Amino acid sequence: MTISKTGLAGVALLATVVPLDAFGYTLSRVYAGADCRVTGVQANDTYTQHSFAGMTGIRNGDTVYRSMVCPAARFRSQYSKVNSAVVNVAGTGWTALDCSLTGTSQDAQTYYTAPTPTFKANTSKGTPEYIFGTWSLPAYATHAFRCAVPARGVIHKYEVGEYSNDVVGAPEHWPVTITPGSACKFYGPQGADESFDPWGGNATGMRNVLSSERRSVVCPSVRMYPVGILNNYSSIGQGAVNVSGTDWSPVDCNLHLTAWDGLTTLTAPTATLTSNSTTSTSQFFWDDIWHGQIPPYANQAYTCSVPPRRWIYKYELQECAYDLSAECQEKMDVEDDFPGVAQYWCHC
Amino acid sequence: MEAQREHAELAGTRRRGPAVILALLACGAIAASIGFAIKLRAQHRTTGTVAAAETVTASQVASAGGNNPELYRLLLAVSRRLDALEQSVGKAPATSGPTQPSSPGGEERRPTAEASAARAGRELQTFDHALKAEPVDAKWDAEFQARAHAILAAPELKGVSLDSVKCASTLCRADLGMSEDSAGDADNVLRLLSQAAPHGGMWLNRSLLGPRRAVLFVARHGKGLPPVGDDGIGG
Repeated sequence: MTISKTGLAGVALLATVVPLDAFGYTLSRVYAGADCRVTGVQANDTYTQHSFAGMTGIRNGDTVYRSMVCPAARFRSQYSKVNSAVVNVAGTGWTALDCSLTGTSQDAQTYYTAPTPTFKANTSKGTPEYIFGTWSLPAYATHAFRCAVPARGVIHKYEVGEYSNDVVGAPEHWPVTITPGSACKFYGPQGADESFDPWGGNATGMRNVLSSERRSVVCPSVRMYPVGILNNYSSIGQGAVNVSGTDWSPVDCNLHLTAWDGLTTLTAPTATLTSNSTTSTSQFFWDDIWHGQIPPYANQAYTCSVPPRRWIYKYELQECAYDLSAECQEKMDVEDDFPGVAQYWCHC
Repeated sequence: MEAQREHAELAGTRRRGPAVILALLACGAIAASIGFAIKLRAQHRTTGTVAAAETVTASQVASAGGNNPELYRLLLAVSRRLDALEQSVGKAPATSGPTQPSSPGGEERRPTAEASAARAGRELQTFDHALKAEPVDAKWDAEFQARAHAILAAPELKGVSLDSVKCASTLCRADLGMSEDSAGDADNVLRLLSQAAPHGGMWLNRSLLGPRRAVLFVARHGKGLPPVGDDGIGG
């Protein structure tokens, strides 16, 4: 076998200009501004409007600044670099310090704030933009944006790209969807929600602010494997809800599944509850459930009955899927060599 | 004569051809089966226990195996045998704790509470080392001290007291006292600081130094917090 000089030169050039990091890949997710919500109890929100910018943005209809939280799920359970976080806004009065990106460790004991973003007041699109630099988070941490939205200001959308060199395909690398608790919603009429404040825990938590009463929330999750193909084997590898306090009961949080047509519903077995008195936190944990029972396009959510003054810091789901078909094997062969290329198609 | 011998050899090769192909296919199938079994075994370890896999019902197996449930049963059986064998020689744990799933390489994927605290401790140590190694920039030091005192005096932070502040050229450390119910106050420290002036990243821990004490590091704008090992915060 001979190697041409051109080939050698190419390899040398590649080794010179491409850092090892380049063999990882970035997962980016774009969220509608409508996913943001005001801080404070939701019943007091009489000023935000969702029907703006093609109905996907959120607008502060008030005449003063209002704080908003924009929760963003992570799809990397391990250490990763956030390398493309952006918030696009509209309106006047925005300043460079109005939006920040925050992170919270899995035990909610350590808070992180990303460096102040670069603020472009007038982009080519004519709208202001916040661009965050590269930033890192530890394993199982969560993150969220928080913005002080000026009067009549709009958040069009926000996005996060996470770089990772995790190997996709190996079972221990099956992605985990980690969602900040601030994405949970009051289980009842939203206008009547005088109990939950999606603010604390470094903007990644959801707290029952009532001093003596429990209230319930539903915490919707994003599925990574929506389509059950012919030879698919789908199950929940792990599920968890992390909360503050040690006075929870194992039945306080439940995991539910509903088929795409709503005709089939499943509730997971009662979670294992562990508490840590040092940090005054607890964790509900589900391990290895619903073997092959998750139908195509089913959806999943947690529900929790939250004791007074307790937080939900984050919730997560790891879904596992097998495909025993030869086609899948072929794709996995490709995937092994080029992690990330076929990750949405097939996991064996 | 030579031509006849070549013809005979060629014929022999042709007769052996199908057998060779079948043998190769069989080898491939066995290799694929072992590969699958290893993957299944690894999955069992990741998601919990081998016992969990044994709860799979026949219909679930059929579902999982799609149009070839027999293949799935075979692979599952091989997987269990491999697991049992491995456990018998002490290479694999019989079960994984709910908060400590282990990967095939033995690497902990989900940090335990202790691991999380240890990690935060490493971060604190790294930032402290960096702070001590830096020369003091009097202007930045005075600037940040004034800002910190002003912010910590805000009514929103009534549960937080500023015990000490120390700045060098790119890093500042502030030690805070927290009231009993001050989770929200800790949030407000970071929010108010990030809205007060540009910075290079912030870090706050509220348990390493004991209950009701928090430690905060702020990096100067354009600098960033020092990286912590291979998986550190910063850079």
